[in-house]
Amino acid sequence: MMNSDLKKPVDAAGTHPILASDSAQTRPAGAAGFFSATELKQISERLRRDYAPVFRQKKPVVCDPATLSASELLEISTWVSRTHRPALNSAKDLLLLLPVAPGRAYVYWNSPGIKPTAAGPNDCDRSLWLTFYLKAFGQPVADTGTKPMLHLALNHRAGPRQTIAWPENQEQVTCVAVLGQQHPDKPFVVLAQSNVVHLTNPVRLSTQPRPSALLSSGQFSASGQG
Amino acid sequence: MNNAFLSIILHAHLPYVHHPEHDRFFEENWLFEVITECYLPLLRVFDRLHQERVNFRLTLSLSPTLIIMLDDSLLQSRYLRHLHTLLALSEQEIARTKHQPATQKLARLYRRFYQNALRDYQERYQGDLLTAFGRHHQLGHLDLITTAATHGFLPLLNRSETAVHNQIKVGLDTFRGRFGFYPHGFWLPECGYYPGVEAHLANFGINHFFVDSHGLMDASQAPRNGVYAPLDCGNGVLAFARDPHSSKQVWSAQEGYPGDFDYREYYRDIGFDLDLDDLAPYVLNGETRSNTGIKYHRVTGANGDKALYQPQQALAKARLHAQDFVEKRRQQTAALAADMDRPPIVVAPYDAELFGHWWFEGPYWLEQVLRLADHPGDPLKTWTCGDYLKQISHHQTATPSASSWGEHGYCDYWLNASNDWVYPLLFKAEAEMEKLATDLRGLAVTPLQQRALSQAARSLLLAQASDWPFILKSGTHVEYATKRLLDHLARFNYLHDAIRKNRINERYLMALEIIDDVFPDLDFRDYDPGKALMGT
Repeated sequence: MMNSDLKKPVDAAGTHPILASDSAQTRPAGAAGFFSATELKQISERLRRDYAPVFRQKKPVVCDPATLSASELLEISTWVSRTHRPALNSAKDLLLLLPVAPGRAYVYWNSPGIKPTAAGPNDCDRSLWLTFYLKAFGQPVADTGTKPMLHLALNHRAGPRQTIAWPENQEQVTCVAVLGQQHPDKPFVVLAQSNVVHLTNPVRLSTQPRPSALLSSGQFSASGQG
Repeated sequence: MNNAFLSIILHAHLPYVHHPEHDRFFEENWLFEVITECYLPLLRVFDRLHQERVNFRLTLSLSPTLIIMLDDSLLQSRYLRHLHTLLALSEQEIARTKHQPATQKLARLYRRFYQNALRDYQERYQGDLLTAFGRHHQLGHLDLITTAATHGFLPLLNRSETAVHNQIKVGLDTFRGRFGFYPHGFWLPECGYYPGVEAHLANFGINHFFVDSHGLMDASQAPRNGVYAPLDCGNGVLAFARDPHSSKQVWSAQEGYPGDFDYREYYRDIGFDLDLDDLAPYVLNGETRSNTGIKYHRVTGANGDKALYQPQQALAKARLHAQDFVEKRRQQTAALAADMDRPPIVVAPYDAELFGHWWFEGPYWLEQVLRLADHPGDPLKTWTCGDYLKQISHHQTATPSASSWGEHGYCDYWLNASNDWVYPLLFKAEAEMEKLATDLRGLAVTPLQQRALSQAARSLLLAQASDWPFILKSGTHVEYATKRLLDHLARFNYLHDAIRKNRINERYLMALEIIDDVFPDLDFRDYDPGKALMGT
């Protein structure tokens, strides 16, 4: 839910930690003659600026760079970067499924509880598995008893990621992946479930004869700058 | 005689690099280098061709971030400072090489090169390169188009259709804000196509875009005319594909023209050759070596010593290469025309920065190609894909294959072990932005809230740039790309928190508006999926 305060007028000074010393936050109100003429003018201007009736403005307020020095800009941007840096390791389990190419999917996970250790044959962790289920529209995932499309032991050497080659008999599917632990004689424990994704396989066109001039001479990469 | 068409597309893009919080910033040189070495030379080529009444047509894609940077007064003034620094360095080089006449001759050429850049930038173009490009659009030589707002790689952003919608919308709005019209063509960043993106393009009146060759060759129906005619995606938006032959002649590191032994060697720069004491005033912090732009050697050979650059020899080779390119296109299109039910169009897209920056002689080569292609009686003409669509109707319908022009042809370069950590962060921020916009549906906001919400969306867009995962994979400037990504996400998080907690610090907001001074017309309500996906 949206914070309902959003509909109320906003105090531009706010109570942000860095403004804790702003005297406007602590000064008692009410006494006549407490404010100087200059202060009253400032308050009046601020009220007009911040609380005037709202008209939807298309253009944002034009910023005057002269109002903030380079060092102030640096100070503010540094503070924002330090205090609001995104958490690279989410506290919640995360499993991301993305199509990387026709016939290939990319799975990336970030799960605090996953520590692959038990390497089996071919560097596979026999306790951690990725399972892919077909996803029909509106159908709940992984609780249907549906037989999974793919059930793969994780290769622990690649880190929290795996590229999956898609079965060629599936032209296109909508599916989800589930990351879980599988121990002998115990039920499969789901650790994280991915987003739903639409995956395709390479098109298998009939090789109709075409004039040689029309045939592509193969793919090579471009893009020097990114 | 049947016509055949050569459609050259130059895609000009740089990530938004703008650091008013620093007196000077190394990565801002990316823009300054390409203005000097690429954009000014290209404008001079177009000016000369126009003055000499050469008929030429080509497409120029200008990315929104580049448009904004070229118009930015701070960057414009810093560019002049940069040029004056290079002039001083070339003067110093002329003095240093007084006993090396051949090298000194090159140093004098560099001084003239920078003097010309300064004169043209200040006097001829009045610091306004976009208007100069726009003039060639009005004259009928250039078809100007654009791309996604921050060059977001759409096949990996399309987990949210709203994200894709806004990358396209904000990009087109930025272009229109500067040039006064919406383009008909669209450059998909990195030629990154996924089935379905054409629906977004159709919403904005776009009628064509570009994919790599396999995007068409692996389409849902075999393309009857190979990559030499577009496919209709089924909604009236057409996909043109890169011709592998003409691209390879220019792009290929092994077989491409730019690797010729007579051309200037990009990777040999006095920034790495001279004593640091001589370079101190001209390099970062007086101690970090970097390219200066002054390069005295030619490619010479794959290994071994590099010989001195011979400008006349290089230009003669560029003329030969231009003749070779045009002649091969004539032969190619003559062969194609015999097998096709319509005039063939050879689509040759390149990064604009290849011309002049990476390949110093590139603008001169392009000028010669355009001159040679304007030959009376010759069926081969330079055209744009927009021109083609005005003349040719009824196209084969099929859905192109997901594809890009990057390594391996798909998403691999932008999604791998070096950069996969980026995506959960981007998706989380996108979801939060959409939630904000959705929660505010139908509610009035104050001007200050509006500014904070719009700035949050700008931070999100800047974080979504394809450049950051690209750089993380390429391995150069990784630290900067990582910082930029995390900074933009931190700014988004800060603004998101401030809005949610109803604690907007105007001074802080203004600081972020000054630093990330992009997309002035952006409307945060476009992040409401209910609005975004209703069309435009």
